[in-house]
Amino acid sequence: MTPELDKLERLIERELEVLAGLPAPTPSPEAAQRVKSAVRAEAIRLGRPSQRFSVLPRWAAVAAAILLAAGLSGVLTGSPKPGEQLADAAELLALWSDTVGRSSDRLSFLLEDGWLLEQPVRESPKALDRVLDTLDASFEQLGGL
Amino acid sequence: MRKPELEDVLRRAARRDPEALETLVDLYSPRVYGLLYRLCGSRDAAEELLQETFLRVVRTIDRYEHTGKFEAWLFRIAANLARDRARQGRRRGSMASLDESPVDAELSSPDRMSTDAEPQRRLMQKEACDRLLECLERLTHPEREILYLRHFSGLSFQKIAEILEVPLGTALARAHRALKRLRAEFNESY
Repeated sequence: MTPELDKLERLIERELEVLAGLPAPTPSPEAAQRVKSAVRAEAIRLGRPSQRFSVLPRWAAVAAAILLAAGLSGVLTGSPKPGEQLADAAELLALWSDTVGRSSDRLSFLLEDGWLLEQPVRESPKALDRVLDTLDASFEQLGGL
Repeated sequence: MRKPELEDVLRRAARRDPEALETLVDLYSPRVYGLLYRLCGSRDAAEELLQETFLRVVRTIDRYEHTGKFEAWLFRIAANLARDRARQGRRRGSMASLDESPVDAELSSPDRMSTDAEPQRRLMQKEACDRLLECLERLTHPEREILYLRHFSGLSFQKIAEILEVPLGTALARAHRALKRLRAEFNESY
């Protein structure tokens, strides 16, 4: 700041003391509370997406496991000798692609709309065990291809 | 509130922590309201813009860079809203004193009435305040804006210049001109 501006600022500050006598209006307690309520509601509204996605790590892996297991089981269950039935590599690739595609669709659905599933899944550890067992079985079947 | 505490509140507010945001409302709403009330001239408009100011804070605080300029950022939002309101012409020209209650309320509050031994002096004070507010209302919006920004925000003219996006010299010249006009209006009103 130049000396001239500094001098001008000090002069203005002195003259601004004329405003010191003005009463300071304050919002009514009701208005202040309304503002706080609105701020809280907006914070919660805007924070919801991040909260939704913040819970994903707890169950997203399980959801993916369910979908993979369901998809793979659909392809492989009842196929005692899948290698014989899916001898054609192109057919195998097509089925695999289709299965992954359907799993991906279901996973997308879960991520977008199915987050309410978190509670039942979390409250049913036995169901989780079954899902994971199925997944293991699916991978074993996959390994046998 | 000490600076480290405030910075902690701001960090939490940036994550849209409702409690932290409410703390900011508690901390700043009196000063922001004062600015808005004086610039808008009515309680309803000031309360509406106060809420809008803090809602904008909530919506954009994740983009705010924590460089120790929160107050300047907050008052910039409030000043911009008040300026938009003035441009729209809503309630423009209404005298603050018409919707004024602080002075009246202060004078008529039971505590004051029962303890104030000099009602005549207080009446004169009120008249002086009303006259000053009337004179301030005769200034242009940019002139009132810079005077009220300095008065209510407590920010330096350097920061006010940043809020108004003008060079410091321009801000000081505007304030000087506004005070000169205010003096002239005040002298004329006698």
